[in-house]
Amino acid sequence: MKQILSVVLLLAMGWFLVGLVPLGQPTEPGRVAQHYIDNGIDENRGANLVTSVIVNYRGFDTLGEVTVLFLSVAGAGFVLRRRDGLVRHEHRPSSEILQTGARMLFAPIVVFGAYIFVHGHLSPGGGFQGGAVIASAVMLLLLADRSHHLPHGLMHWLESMAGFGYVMAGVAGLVVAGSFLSNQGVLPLGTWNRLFSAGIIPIIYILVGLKVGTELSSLLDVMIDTGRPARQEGGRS
Amino acid sequence: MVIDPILLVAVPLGVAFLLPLFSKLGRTAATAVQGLTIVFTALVAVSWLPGLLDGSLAPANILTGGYDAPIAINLHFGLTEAVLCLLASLTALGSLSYLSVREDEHTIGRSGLLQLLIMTGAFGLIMTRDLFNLFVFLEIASIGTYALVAFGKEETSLEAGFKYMLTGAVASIFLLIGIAFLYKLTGTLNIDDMVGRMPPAATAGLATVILFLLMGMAIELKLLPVNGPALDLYDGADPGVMALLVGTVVNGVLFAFWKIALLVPGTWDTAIMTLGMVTFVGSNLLAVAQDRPRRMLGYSSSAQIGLLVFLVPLVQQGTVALAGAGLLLINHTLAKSGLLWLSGKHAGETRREWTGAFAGSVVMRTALIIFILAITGLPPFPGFWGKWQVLSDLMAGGYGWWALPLLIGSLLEFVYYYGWYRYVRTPATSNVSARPLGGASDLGGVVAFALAALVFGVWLMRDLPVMGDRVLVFLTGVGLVLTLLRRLPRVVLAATATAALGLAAWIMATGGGFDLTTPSGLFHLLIIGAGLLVSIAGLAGSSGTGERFHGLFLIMIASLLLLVSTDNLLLFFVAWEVMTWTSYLVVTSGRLGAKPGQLYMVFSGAAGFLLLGGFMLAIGAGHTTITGLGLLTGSTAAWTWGLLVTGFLGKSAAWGLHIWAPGAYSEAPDLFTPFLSGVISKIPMFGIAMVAFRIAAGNLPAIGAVDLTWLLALIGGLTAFGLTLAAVFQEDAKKLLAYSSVGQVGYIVVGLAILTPLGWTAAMFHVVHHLLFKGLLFLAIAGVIMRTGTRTMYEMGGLIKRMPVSFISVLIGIIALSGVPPLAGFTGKWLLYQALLAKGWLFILVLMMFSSVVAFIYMFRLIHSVFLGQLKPRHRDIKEAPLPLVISEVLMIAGVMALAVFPQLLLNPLNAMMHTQFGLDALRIDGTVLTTMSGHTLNATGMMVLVLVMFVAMFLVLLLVSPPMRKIRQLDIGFAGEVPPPAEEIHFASRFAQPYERAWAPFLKPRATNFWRSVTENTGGVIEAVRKIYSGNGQTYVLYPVLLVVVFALLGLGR
Amino acid sequence: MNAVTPATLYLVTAILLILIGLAGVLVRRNILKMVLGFALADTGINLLIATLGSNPERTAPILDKPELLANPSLVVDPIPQALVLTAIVIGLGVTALMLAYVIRLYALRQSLDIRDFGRLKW
Repeated sequence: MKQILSVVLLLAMGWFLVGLVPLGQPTEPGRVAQHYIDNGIDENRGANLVTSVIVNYRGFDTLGEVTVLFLSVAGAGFVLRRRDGLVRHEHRPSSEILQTGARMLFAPIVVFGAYIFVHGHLSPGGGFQGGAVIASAVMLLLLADRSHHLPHGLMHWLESMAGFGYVMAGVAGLVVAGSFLSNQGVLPLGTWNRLFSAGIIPIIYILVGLKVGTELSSLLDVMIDTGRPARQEGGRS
Repeated sequence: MVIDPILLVAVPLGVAFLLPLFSKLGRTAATAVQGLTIVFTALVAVSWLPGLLDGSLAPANILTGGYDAPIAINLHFGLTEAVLCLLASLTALGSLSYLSVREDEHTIGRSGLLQLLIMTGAFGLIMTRDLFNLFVFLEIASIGTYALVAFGKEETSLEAGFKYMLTGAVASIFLLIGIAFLYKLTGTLNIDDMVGRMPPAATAGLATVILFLLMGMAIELKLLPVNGPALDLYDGADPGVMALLVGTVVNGVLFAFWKIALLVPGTWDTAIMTLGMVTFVGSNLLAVAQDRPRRMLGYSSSAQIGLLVFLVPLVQQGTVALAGAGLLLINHTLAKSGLLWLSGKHAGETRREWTGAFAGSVVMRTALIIFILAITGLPPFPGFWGKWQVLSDLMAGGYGWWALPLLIGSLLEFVYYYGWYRYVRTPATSNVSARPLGGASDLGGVVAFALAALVFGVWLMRDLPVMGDRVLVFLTGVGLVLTLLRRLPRVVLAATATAALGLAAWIMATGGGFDLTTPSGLFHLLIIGAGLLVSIAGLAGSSGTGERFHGLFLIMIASLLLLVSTDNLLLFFVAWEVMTWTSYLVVTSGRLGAKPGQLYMVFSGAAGFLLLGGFMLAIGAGHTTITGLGLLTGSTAAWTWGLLVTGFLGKSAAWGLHIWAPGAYSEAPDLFTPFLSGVISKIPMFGIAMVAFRIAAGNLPAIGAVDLTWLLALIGGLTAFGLTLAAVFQEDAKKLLAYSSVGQVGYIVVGLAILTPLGWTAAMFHVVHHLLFKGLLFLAIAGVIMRTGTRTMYEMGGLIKRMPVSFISVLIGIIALSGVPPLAGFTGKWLLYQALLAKGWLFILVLMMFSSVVAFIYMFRLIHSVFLGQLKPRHRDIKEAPLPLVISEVLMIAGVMALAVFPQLLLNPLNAMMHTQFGLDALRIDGTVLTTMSGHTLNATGMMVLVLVMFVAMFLVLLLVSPPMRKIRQLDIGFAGEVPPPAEEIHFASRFAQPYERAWAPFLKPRATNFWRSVTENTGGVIEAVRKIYSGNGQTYVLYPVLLVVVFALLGLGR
Repeated sequence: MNAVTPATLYLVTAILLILIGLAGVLVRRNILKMVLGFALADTGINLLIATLGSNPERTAPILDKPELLANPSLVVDPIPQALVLTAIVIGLGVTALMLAYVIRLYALRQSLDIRDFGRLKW
């Protein structure tokens, strides 16, 4: 009964949403977007306008975004702080081939991820994408060998320092140019379409890449939790 | 020096990222870093406040990324933002001190981070002017919330948290749909830029876009009916976490809604206001049925947010001042956070389990009642000023009808908050566990917020003329000190109070404050005089006063003095409400006063809101003074008069509204009851005379053929008749006097309703006289109760030999009450009957005379069963009442006698008073000879002489004809071998009036009680049915927002 | 709408994804599947936002070629792409947290049925 009602209501809501389709047809970019398109290169010297928007114009959003990620990892760790009541299955170690293959692939994937975030201001992708790629390498490792331990100390240190560095980069803009996260005058803007260009943007994106990579890896670690022995109190088997 | 507000976000974020590293240094280090960060953010806000308040600082526009809006995201930091950020910081600080002692091995080093980021999310929400950035910070705050609510017991918190996440995720989806399309339509994300670029309201699809945006916010705001998960959260999560959320996320979301509402076309205003008001009234109504205090607080939060949502469109269109809404918000934050912290200090889950909570802690008890007074909108707390401002603006802006649900919802708050407090005040019995949780180390936030609410509320009064009144400030100040020092010996407290009152009396006397020819002067004398007599009696020091009596008593007297002397409607109402809550607190401090106290408070609250409604009508018509009421005309005049008179009658316990009175009078501390009966119940009479009747009777329409004033007289008559009748059947001495008191007030109502100089003279005369003799009776009975330890009359008897002064007091009291010569009761009744005759209201006259006769039955009983007859063996060694009581009694007897022999002492000033009021004299007074305008005369002194002569003559005759007296032993009675039944059955005074009971049966049905019971039962049934919508099923909770979207879209809202 | 434009196609797909996702949330009683429903609906939202900035006649807003630099109006609006990135990350964060909850809820009641988590009510 409730399920039928749910479906009917959703269909009704869908009908109203479909009514919005005419609003979604392609239009000329708005005033703000046009400003980015026309002046983005002059102002930030980064070829990838999306990156300029993400790291500079809407950098405050991105700082928030990094915070969201940090927060959800910390939150997941907080929610999963107790381990009682969970049934743990003894997992068989995976095969030699899988383990070796995973270890072989790990380094190239990490390098690829690093490449993506280092070139975030020039080509598609950036800190988040690169970070996610790095985390996928960690996931591969963790899935292939469930007994694998991540270097927690290093991870925490990287995580914290990357986040703190981001804030410091913002404060640098505040000190130098009077505006938080400003890209003017902190570092030379350089030449268009070169690796060393776009001022502070690549620095921030590298920090974001490191942050996202370590963050997502910690998240996987928390979820899989290979590190701690299980306490069996309250659990059924 | 001001600090850049961007650091409000940057610093806590930077610290939060490093906090995991600090945690490695140890728990204290991490907590210290966190605390210092919060202190820093508070300082940032504080550094801006003075400049923003006096206008010397312009609000800051903060750029990010180096470009101004709309190119980059900008933040705004003005007064509103500064206040909200400060509140958020303070709540975070309080919650840190509260939560840090509740950490367990698993949460240490983890929860602090979440707390800090929740606060930061709120800062961002408050400051940002970018729509999408707003969404990001909303998510930061939400995700932090989702995680932190898992603090504490998993059993309940996880379940609540998950359901909360489900609806939160739906809210995100709705918000993103709205934001994305708004960007598409306007080409910008900056809110202020967007406002100017919104397409016309009629644009196809715009209404749907706005609807999604609004529904997303409705979920985040926890409006009815999508607030189910929030309620579960209050129920299941740690109260400390919820307190943090109230001060940070809830306020942040409210302000986010404010910003989003800037984008919403005016066509939505009514819909938003309706949704807000439905949430306010609905949540408050549902809270009434809530048995679990923490969940009840959740309903209350929903309600308060609903009220603020209701105000958002009104403030934005300029109808309501921002200050009004702001004060409500500050008040709610302080009070609700405080209540939540306190709610976590006690293990009770249901209200019953809260019985006797915090009995050992003055601090927690005091804080609790401060928060409850604040959240129910009583003065001097900020919520009161906010509500007054909002109501006045609503009236002035033509939104008067919205005041009605606002007042109803506010009254419901009284019902459940004082319902909860009733359990707290009830002494714990052994089978109810009252376990306080935690030590005193986590009380920092509670104490700070309670003080903040009080100090801020008083600070808001700084410009009121009342602050210049030495006597009021002095009495209130001493009262506050005594309230806090209430653990001192009672004799010391009573002596201080007496000295303070004496000093106040002296100041007022030298300042001409006791000019009896003015109503204020007369009431000043009554209030101070009665106050002194009660204080003197309190020197007895033993029981009879509650633990916190003397301090509150002084505050109450200050409020009464203000009430009878001000011409300002606001000040009158402030004084009225202060009188209400101080007297409520004194009543509940009686041993069994908790339950009747609740009833008293609810009825007083209702009376207060009726008055407020009346005042608001006048303010809507442009009058802010009591004198201005006289300028009202037409239906406004009639409605105002009706509301005011109903309110005053409610507070004076007129028939039908009296059900609170017997309990409150009898369970109040024994020494307070005389004041309650003598003065507090007279204040509404002052109100009817000096406030309601400012509205010229000529402006009142008649209902059919019935004059409104006649109707008022009828109510007075019924009160006198009905409650006198009820008094007859009481076994409890105090209850008997209580019914009698309320009945006597009926006489005064009749006198006032007559609306002639003579009628008013009769009424005022009775006000004074009733104060004297009823005070005397209550005081004498208080002494008896103090000595015998019982209030049941058949358990006493023969006390005349042991307590002669008390006996004489009661004797004089009942002679005065009965209205037989030679005492002034006769003079009073004579005046009243003359006035009724002159007016021609014969039916009322018959009613009054009949009541007077019925009163004999209970008066006889009072003196006979208590003082005459046989002395109970256990009372053989009883002593006379303590000396202070005896002194007070003797002073009152002197007053009664003076009024009897020299009524002109009072009648001369009254005559002058009537001359000012009506331009006519009531009486011709010639020495002790009174002559009415129609020529009837009365000679008080002559009457006294006559009666004395007759008494002596008859006494001599009796002495001659009666047989000689024979002494017998008291217990010389035989039972013919039968086992004696329980004492109450053989004692002649038990069920003394039984023969009348059958005869009067049709009149004795407890109609009023039954009526009110059926009201509560029916309402309760509705509430029970409605609150089933919060089924507890997470899927149902998700369904409601979808349902709401569809219904609103089908209704075509906003088009 | 006589001709179905690519934008229409994307938008209708996005709306369908949102509806299917929400249907999963409302109809499925398994909390794990409810979480998946939200993930699906999030995808729909992301597609919707991306579509609002799309234009088949223009190219991606990366001015890495001299001809684009000379005529920047050949590229689409970069803002929705930036927003979508943020939306994805937020969606990920919420999903991660929901999954963490699911793990603990299962540990608590040994059940994944939403109806088993309704003790707090009224």
